Amino acid sequence: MAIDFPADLKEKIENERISYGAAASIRFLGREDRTAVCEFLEDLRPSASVMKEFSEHILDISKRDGVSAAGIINAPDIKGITAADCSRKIKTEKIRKLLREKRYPSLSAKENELKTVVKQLSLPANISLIYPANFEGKKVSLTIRFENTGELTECLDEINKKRDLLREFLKIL
Amino acid sequence: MNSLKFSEIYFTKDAENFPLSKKIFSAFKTARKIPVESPKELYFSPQNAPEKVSQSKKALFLTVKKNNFIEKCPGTKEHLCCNYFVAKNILGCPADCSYCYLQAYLNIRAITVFVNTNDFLRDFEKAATGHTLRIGTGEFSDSLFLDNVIDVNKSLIEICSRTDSLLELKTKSADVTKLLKLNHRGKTVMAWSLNPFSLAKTEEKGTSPPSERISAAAQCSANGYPVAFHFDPLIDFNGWEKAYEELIERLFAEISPKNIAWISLGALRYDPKIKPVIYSRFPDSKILCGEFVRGNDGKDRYLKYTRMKMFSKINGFLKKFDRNMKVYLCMETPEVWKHSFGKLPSDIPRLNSVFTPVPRAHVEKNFRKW
Repeated sequence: MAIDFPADLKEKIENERISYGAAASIRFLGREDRTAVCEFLEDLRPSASVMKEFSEHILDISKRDGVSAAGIINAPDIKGITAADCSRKIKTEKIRKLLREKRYPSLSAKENELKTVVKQLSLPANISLIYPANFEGKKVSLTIRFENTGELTECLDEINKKRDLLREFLKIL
Repeated sequence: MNSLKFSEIYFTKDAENFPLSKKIFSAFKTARKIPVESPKELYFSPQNAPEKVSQSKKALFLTVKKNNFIEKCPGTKEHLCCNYFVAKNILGCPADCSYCYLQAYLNIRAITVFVNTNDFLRDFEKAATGHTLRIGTGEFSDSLFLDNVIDVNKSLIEICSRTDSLLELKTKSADVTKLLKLNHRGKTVMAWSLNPFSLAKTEEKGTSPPSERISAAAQCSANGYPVAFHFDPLIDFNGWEKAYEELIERLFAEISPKNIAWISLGALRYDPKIKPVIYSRFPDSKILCGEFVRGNDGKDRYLKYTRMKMFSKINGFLKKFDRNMKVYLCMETPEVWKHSFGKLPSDIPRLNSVFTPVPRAHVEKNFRKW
């Protein structure tokens, strides 16, 4: 049982200009906003899953802030990226980050806080720190990759030296 | 719910001659009666055809269920479960709350009524006997909205009055008159879902206003019923603190804390599949605009910091009226429990009656998980 899309979206899906997942969100917008979002996505041509993500974020932000979807896309911050002289791939990544920050301001702020401490920790490449997705939970895992006991001792010393920063890291979670 | 109206009544052949079917046909004479060979004829996909969810509230489907009327709530992965048992005699609700999970959960375009009431009551009595359970009819429907026609609550109340189990009738209705004088022996808990007045107006269509629900609770309380309240789903919106505080003050202006069996708090959570249904059916609703993140159980919830803030604030508002009330969180992680209440439910003795699991052997022998 497929979704009954408006004709303009149906045509875009059939011609593979817009992904089905993106259209599933865009259908809730008015005609003018639908056209604006489709043009935006057709110019950027991200993957189907990123199209879906962009469409969901635009719809959510539009509802929350009472701003039209066209208004979001044409805001100076987004326009600044789309008009810049760089590859579509870079533009897509920058817009992805920006839209996510707009959709999830508190989550993004927490993530940035955490990233700052992780940066300060500057753990060597053979140690990785994994924390729970979306801050759901407090359990952290630390992986050490080593080939001999010397490397292991070095890693353990490094971790020990950075105990205070690790404590700060845990506090944020 | 002032006046129930249904435009269609679907029924399977085996359901047609049950006394409850006849009663329903007679109560809704103007409804078209449509026989169906199988429930499959009524299947639909709510995500793809949300408009049919609205139609489903205007139709009934009468059928027969052979067994498994009572199921244990399965809880969800990595979230603490309150050991609740669910009685399923009706699937669907004529009220229309924007956040209702049934919109995406049920895939039959009518409210299903299992008309073999005697089988249901037999199953219910078997479940309620032998162990102390909390069993409710308010998970897959509202416990009261259809009872003027279905008329099953008085039998359930009577059964529980003879057992050690507690029946919970959970509702957003204020129509309690016919229950007031029943001999419940304190074994039926009358429960209401509550949200601030402004939210109820926009998000809980077809329900009684919260002020009327509270007055109905006061009437039940005056007639000896223990009462319960579910602040679920808690919704994060501008001014939520003041709105929930006012609601709680209003509640305790009419209800004595000593008559409260339990209070649950649950923040808005949803299966992501429901999102297009809500967007389509409630275009003006902003309930999905919060910062939701995917939990380990696949449901979207507010960011934990938001949830913890809401739970500890509202728990604080409640505890101003009585420090010893049984307040618990619905479907929450141990971390959120500890942060919001300072403890896990296992460390709060007054919650033992809610959180002590029913012996596994009894559950496996008698119930199916939904």
